[in-house]
Amino acid sequence: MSDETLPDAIVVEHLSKSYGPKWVVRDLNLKVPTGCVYGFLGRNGAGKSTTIKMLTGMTPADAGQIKLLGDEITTMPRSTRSRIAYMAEGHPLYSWMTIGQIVQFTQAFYEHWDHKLVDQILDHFELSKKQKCGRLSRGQQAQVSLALAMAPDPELLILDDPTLGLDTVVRREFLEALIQLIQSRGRTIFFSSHVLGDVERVATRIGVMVDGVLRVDCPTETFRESVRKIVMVFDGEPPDFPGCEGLVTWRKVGTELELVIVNWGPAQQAIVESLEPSWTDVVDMNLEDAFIEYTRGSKRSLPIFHRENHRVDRAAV
Amino acid sequence: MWTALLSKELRECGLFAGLALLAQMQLLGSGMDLPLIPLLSSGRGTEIPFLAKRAFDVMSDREIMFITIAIISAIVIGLNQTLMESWRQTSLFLLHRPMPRSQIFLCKLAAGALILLGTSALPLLIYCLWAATPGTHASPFFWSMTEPWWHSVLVAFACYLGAFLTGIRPANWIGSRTWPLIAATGMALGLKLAPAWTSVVYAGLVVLIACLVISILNTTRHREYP
Repeated sequence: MSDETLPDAIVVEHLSKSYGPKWVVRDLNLKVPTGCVYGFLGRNGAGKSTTIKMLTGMTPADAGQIKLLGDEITTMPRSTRSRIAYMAEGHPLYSWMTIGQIVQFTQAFYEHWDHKLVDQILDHFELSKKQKCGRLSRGQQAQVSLALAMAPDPELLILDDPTLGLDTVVRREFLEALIQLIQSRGRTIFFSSHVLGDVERVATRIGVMVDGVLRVDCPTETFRESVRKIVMVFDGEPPDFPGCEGLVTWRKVGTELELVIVNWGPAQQAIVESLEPSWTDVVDMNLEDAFIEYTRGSKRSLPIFHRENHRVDRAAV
Repeated sequence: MWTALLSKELRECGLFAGLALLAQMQLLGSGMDLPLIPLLSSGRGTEIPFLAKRAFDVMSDREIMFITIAIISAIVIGLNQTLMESWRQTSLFLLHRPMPRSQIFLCKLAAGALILLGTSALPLLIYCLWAATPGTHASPFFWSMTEPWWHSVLVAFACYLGAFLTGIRPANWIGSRTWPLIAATGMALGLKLAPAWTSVVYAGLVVLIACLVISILNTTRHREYP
């Protein structure tokens, strides 16, 4: 989906942020190609929201540089800012305004405003302009926020956990609308989410933050296919695993020894076979399982997925 | 853009502005023998508009009431304009609009100033015009007599800015958070009551207001928005 001839929509270099002695984001380097749908993942407290707030200029960075659509965030002109839409977590709207009033209020800030698209989105979700924002459900607030975000025809959308708190049906409807809008206009979308199923459905590329460090930055498929769970069954007590390249974690479960390995290959297979298990199974995982196994591994020795070649390095932070 | 933001601010402060206006109309209306609620008014009696002095030999009872209402409404409006945005998290919605942050906050300040003018200065002007009209009361009137009252409007504006700064200033402890409000109110009232030359008092107030506006713009530029 990304266009190689266009510059990256988001360029982040050496971005860092600390609160007191704790580094919330540490030396973050990230490039999101134009036209890409980028899922930004991480457990609670991993630094996702802080990164998004720095991307939107709501939180100043301690160090580093952020460029959105080619312009530095701190000196971004109005013309560039109007090409970027941001949907904050929880979809805050003015509760006393009706949908019609908030559309009118928001429209006043933009030179370009697609009335037809707003009406289409509101019609699609069966929302009336006379409804008060304060009386909308969380899902409806998300739908209004989506209409407001899309109306200026932005080139870049930054969404902070857009499906948080939505029930399954509303979440699916919201995502389907989002996919339709992306496909019809070729926008770049950067979004964080805890719902891995959503990310798998929408994102072409993912980044995983672990303790303020971007550990993964690669196509979604690459990540999913690279993380493997190896289950070895022994006749008695399983031995300790000696370690190998790409090992995320290992644990004993009864007579089984479970390993999570990034980039399973002949080298790792040889080590596994040397333990002489009675039976070995290599389990494929979906994105959610891969994410859970990857992020609950030993944090100091997680293999890092590089953007350039997606190979795995053993890197201690 | 400015119009949309101004009307939003005016609409959000409408309730408090209306209450403040009603209170001032009751107070100044009773000074003109035209109170909104006669039962709550002791009437004008023998009071000479803009002349009588009681407290600290500086202000009349009516002026004390006037400045009290003006300051309280100024503080409530300043806090309402800032804290409500944080509590509702709408600051994230508003500040991402393609408008420089300083302009967004200047627009908010302009709306606050307009509300203060409407709720304090406008009723005061009507009271002054009534007092200046021959035949309305049997006492002398000079426009210079109204000067301390206009001064009170400026004091209320300084308190408004102090409340606004308190509302946007991040701090963990309520004491450190409210110090701009306490300091601004204390300094403005100190200047009001100080036995100093009028020009010095006005200069002091202007400096205080300028410092508060600069501090507000500086805070909005550097603070984090949760």
